[in-house]
Amino acid sequence: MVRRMALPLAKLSVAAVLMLPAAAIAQQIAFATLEQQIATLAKSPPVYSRDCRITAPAHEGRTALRTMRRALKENRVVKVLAVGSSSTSGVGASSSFATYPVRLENDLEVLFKGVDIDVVSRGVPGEAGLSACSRMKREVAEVKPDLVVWQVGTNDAMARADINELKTNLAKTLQWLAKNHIDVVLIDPQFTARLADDDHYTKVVRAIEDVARQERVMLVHRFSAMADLAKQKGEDMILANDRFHLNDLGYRCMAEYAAGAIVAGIIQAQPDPAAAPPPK
Amino acid sequence: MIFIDHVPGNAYGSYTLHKMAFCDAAELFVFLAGWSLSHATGGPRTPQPAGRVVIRLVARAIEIYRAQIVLTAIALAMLAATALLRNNPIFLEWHNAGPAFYDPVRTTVGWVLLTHHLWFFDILPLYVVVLLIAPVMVLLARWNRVAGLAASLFLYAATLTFNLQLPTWPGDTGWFFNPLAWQLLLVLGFLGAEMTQDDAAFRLRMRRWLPAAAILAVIFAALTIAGFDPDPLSVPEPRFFFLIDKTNLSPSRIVSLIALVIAFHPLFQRLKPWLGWVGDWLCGLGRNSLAVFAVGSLLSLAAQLLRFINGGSLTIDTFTVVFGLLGMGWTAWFVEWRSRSPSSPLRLS
Repeated sequence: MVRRMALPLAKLSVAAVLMLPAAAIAQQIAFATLEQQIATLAKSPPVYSRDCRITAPAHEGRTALRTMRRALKENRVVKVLAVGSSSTSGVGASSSFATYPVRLENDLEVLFKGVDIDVVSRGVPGEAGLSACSRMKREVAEVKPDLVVWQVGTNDAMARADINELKTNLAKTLQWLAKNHIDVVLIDPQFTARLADDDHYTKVVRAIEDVARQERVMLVHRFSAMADLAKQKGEDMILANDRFHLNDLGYRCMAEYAAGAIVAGIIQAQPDPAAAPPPK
Repeated sequence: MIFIDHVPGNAYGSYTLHKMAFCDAAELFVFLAGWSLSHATGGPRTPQPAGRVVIRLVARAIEIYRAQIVLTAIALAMLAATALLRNNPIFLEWHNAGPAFYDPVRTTVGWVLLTHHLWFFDILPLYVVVLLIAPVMVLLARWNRVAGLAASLFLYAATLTFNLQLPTWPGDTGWFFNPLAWQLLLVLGFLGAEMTQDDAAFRLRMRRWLPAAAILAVIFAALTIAGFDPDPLSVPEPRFFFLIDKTNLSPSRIVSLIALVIAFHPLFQRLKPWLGWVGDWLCGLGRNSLAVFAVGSLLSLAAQLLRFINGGSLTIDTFTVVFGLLGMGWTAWFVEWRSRSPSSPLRLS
């Protein structure tokens, strides 16, 4: 019996020995290809499509998205968690395919060919930042993302929430994400001409900017970018019928700006093959 | 307490149960609902026949379902009216109302199927589902208490282990109160009431455990005040067993409630003679819990809107709390007056 089993076992061992280097080589090829893709993107960063073109890049921050870069190389599904309110759930979009998380997933998969990227959308319409902060831990524990794209601030600004309380909680949550080696891209509030005249609203936009700088987090200036687009094309082109939420074009541009920020962060994360993967 | 807790930021919210225990008024509400199930179905000494138990519980579930549908309609109208009056679309998105206004076709179906809930109006859907589960649990527990508890525990453990959930649609926000987990509290309330009525040894044990339960309640209070809240990425899997998760009713919340119940249950009977009209008023609220809860929920939404528009202040918070308590007291009085006055033109049934 033992002898009869020994032969298949030996064959299996040989196959395993042969397959291990093969898998490693395949991974190396994928790795090299990905590194080449990143190098190409570094030389010629992606440009926004004609409809979404604005005068300056929509993102700010010299923040390396190390976990994201490492995840891309690991030949597995890369998880991105999109947290936010109605802009994340897609109020105003003509269908779920036109929402920003779905478009972001498509954009990233076009930019990083051969990588399976899963953008999990967890948008709660009407939710304020404070509530999102308390929800974040639960969502992260469930999804276990490599990157969190966090659209925040619109409802706090409209609700005239306490700005200092928002800043404190936002900073605490960003610190918790950093401690757990989860990359973050923040997206600041929605723009409409009516809201831009509101002093409290613009203070919230600036407060989110301050926290992003303080916590060294990549920030998408949605407010400025959409103001630029509205100036070029008129608000009606990017807003839904309620003249508050984005429409399909607005979401397409929002996804492009977020993708631009993510690519910039990945480029800034220098390759470090010796680095041990962080605990997940 | 639920009324005050449902006005976030309210100054008096710092003095309600959730600031001093892992559990809050929602746990107490469901536990007491289980307790009253025992009385509503005849108690352990004169149990009602199985058919009557099923009809009674299903009828109660339908009554609560009806209340939920009406409450949701009124809450949506309050939000829409405020959005119109304030010319501010943010109110249309409050408390998960967005789908009702921006995707009305699917949300109307979800509203009737109880797969779409407004936040702060999501405890009655839980109550409907647990009441529909209750006939099985009640009949099983009446046949054999250990079997009833074991079935409930099994469903609870499976829910926490495999993250079982009922669907929400449109949108996958999930049930804020997962009925598959919360049913355990209803069963514990039911068994507690049954054993208190016919098991002298159980009553004696409860009295003996009172000091230990009080110490445990104090420990939980100290941990809550200190901000103890386990990090979901640091606890072992299945993590809901080790968190203080409200949606899935983590064990820590159940233990916290049971400790409070054992420690404080003799208190009300002893205090009642001293409370005078306040005691009668509290009893009135309890006797008419559905109507009081429904009016309280709408008053708390009105208080939220008022607070949002005018900003929070101690004056506004005091006004809303006093007005809310009076409103709920008046509701209890009105319901009892109506039931005592069969010739009243306002009597509808």
